[in-house]
Amino acid sequence: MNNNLEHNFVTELERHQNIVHKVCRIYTSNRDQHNDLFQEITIQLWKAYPKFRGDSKFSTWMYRVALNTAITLYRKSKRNVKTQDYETVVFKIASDDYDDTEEEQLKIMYKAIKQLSDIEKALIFLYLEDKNYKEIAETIGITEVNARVKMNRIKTKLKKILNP
Amino acid sequence: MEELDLLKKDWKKQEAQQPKLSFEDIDKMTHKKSSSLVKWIFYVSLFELGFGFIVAALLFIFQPEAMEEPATPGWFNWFYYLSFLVVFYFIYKFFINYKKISTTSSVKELMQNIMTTRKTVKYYIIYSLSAIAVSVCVAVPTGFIQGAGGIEQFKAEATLSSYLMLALVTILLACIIVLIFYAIYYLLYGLLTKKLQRNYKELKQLKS
Repeated sequence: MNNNLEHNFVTELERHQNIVHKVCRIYTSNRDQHNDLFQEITIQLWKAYPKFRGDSKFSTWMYRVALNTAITLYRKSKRNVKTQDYETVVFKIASDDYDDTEEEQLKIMYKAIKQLSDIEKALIFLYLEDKNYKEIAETIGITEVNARVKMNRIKTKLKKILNP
Repeated sequence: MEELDLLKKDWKKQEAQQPKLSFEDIDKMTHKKSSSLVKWIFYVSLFELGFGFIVAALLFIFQPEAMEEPATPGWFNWFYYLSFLVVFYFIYKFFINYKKISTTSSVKELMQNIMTTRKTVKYYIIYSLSAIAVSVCVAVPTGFIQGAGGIEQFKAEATLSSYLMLALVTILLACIIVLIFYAIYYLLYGLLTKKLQRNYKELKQLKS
């Protein structure tokens, strides 16, 4: 692959790396796994890049490859992981209207999401990314109606986890 | 759901807190080797496809006299040569299916393509195990008859209980060998596709 292609790809990925970090955040539970998954997604994006025709936005294209890698292709490394789990890390929001109760609620929500299945995580992720049901359905490979039904079920499931 | 709205708000703020990798960091990653499931499936499948082929080829090179042994049934030679064609067919199908695997497909389509590729290998394994069973069923009596001084002598001396014993030992051996191979295959297949099968089942429950 030529240097120009590689340069364009790395520039685009550097600009949109947030998407990959967010996928890693939802599918992994510590920093080592996060880095492993980030690397695997980068490799898969780079492998698929020569076929990227630009008829969709680079970021839209990234969602598919990143989610496919996290759900199907990624195999957790067996090496000993010494880093702290995300669940135990206090996730503080840099905000003026900082609120202890809100932070507690958020921690519980993130923990609840970790208990969802891989497919449910994908739906929640796309929902949090403000994707409409048509885009969610296309990315997952289900119908729009089923995406809505599944999303409602996930909301109910989350409610149950939060209020057992 | 109130909590979900709160989470959505926080999700947006997270962007500022994500790690920021440099151009050089990302560039380095593009040169790293993948350890993805597809890569594992590819290597394991190649091993499985190649194993049967190598065993057959080695038999072909080192034991041609076994084929000419009068106790070996005539059809066995045809079966043996035909199995090479079948192996080539499976290898061809495997590569055609493997090429369809793309990370830019939808989540479901990617899973389907991986499962189809694995299915080719599964059918190949079923075929191979059947071929092994047939081979054992031919080789064991042939070897036994040879040891007993040839087909004519065996026919002259054999009683009903010798026939029954030979049949029993042959079937038992065939079962043991097939079971060992199946256990190895099941372990490999199960370990590789456990997560994939679980997720695919969940997606299949949602009508597309």
